[in-house]
Amino acid sequence: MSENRKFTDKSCALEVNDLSWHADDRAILSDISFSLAQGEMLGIIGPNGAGKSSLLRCLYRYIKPDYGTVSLFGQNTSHFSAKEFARQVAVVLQDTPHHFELTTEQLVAIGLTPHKGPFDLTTSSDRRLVADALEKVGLTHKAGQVYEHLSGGEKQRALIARAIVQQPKLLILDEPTNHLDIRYQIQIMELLREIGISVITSIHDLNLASAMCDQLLLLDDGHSVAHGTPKFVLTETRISEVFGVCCTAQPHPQHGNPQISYFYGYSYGASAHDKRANDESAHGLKAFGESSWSSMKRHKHDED
Amino acid sequence: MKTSPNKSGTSGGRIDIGHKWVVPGLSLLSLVTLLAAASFGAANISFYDVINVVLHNTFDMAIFGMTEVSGIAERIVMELRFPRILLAFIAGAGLSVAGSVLQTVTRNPLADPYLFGISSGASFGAVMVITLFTGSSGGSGLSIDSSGGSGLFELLSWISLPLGAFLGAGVSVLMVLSLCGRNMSSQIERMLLSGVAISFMFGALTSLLLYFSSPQAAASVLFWSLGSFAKASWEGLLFPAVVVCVATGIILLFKRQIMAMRAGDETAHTLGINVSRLRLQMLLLCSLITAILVANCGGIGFVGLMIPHTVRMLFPGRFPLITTALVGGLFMVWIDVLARTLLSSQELPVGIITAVIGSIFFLFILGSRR
Repeated sequence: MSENRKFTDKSCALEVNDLSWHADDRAILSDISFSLAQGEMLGIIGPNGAGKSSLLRCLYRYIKPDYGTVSLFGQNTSHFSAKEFARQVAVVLQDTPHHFELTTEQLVAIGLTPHKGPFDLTTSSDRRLVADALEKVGLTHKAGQVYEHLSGGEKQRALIARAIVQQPKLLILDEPTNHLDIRYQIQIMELLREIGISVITSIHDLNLASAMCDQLLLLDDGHSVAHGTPKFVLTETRISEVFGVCCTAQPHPQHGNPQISYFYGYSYGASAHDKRANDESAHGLKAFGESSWSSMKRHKHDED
Repeated sequence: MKTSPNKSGTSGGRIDIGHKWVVPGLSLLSLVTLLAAASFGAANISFYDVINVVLHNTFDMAIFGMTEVSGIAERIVMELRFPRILLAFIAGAGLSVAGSVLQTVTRNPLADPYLFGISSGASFGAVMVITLFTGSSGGSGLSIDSSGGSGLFELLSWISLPLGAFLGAGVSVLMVLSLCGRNMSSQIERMLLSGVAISFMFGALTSLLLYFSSPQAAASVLFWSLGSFAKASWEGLLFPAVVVCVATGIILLFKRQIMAMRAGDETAHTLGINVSRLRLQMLLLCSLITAILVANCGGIGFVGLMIPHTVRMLFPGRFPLITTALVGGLFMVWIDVLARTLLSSQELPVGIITAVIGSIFFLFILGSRR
């Protein structure tokens, strides 16, 4: 299901057609198609195991899909060389290993790698690029510090600065707001918007996704369930069907996109793994949720 | 040994001031060491004598108003000590570079050139040669003292020991390389495990050969496996020097990529690096360095593990390849001086001293850091 949006070829940063991938005889991604306009931010949402990371890995060519094409500005990405591709697409991951003794500045300078041949030295313009990126993410004062000693939010910003130095046309991030407190979550997402290039990010927090993304792609069990604006994707029915929780979605007072309030009090019976029973219980819970929500509203009126 | 491309990556001015002088300072220290280390040894030759010998040989003049150094002292310095010191320097530098690169590309702090079966393969090759030759020539043509009685066998065994060691190391490395595969996700694990398995396999084969060999052969194998620079000569220096310099040069060209490998395989992939291929190439280069050194100097453990760690602790957050090479070279030269002078009557195997001093020093640094 997706909104009927037409892109002209020129403004289309990324176009994915019928992407499928399986591992160990299990379909991980099935027939996923979507496109992203230049300069927009796409949030990929879905429950754990829905295939968000796998989809991203297909996009940045870490895994090769069994079927389907990924086009970057109209060019099939499988035709790019590794280096060419790295100049177009930067990726921020969460796999930073331990014993990572680089300073923040050196980590950011790693972003120069795809732009450098074996005999190229680091020039003064490269250094300016690194300094500018550090300034953009507000880490100039931490340039000389060891990356490992930064806080979670600072680490994430340092990784984004590294991606900025890579000068990509598309930035892909895998759950950049994980493990961050709410202030840093908002800070990171707003920073991504400021960079002004096309961004694809997987994200767990639906409210954050609703507030920050131009487009959302909702995945469930490797299938694309919905693609479009947050208003279109984040409906109460869809969230209860895909995530198995009850909620209401009201327009946010500031930005007008759906703001989701969840309901609590679920019982996890033996049939929890049975998909159909799960769906039914979700609908049952929804009915419960709506009645309790209206009673809560009534209660609030009484207080007023 | 080489001029460095100076800066690794970009660094803030504040930090750079200290680092700018590291490589020139170490280079100068290496030059001084070359002369100073030559004045240590069994024969009593002073530092000034060494300088005079050098000046006499290069510029044909003498300074310090000293009389000409005796011919025998000149021969000792020029034909025994200098090649020996240079070989020690090259070995230390090469093993340190190999260790540093392997630790980075496998992201395993314990990775060292010997972990990948190189040493045990080389030992096996060497033991094969030693047992074969002592079997046919009837004498251990390999111990250090047998500088007399020259002959065809002598010459043959002298060449064939490094050759056998090199072939043995080559076989073990090829086995590791063929086993570790190109699958990025499991490559590091397969590399380390196959290295350990092949180490044990060649170790067992070596033990088997030794079990059936003569005590003489066993003794010379033991001395060889503990490492020594005593057989250094100008001719024998050429091959290790070329291999270490060329391999280090190639590694320097891949410096950015190796640095980026630290950020993790997947991130390195997104930076346009062919991770599995780069790792195999680096393992091959490091194996080549190690094999040529083990073949020439025997097994000198702990340098490839310790020097890169020490340098990284002293200069955190860099990939200071040149610094690592210089520090490794300097360390090895002075260890060799100790090996020559610690006991008055005989010299100690270098490998024993590197292991003792290295491990104590390493524990000291580790303890003082946190």
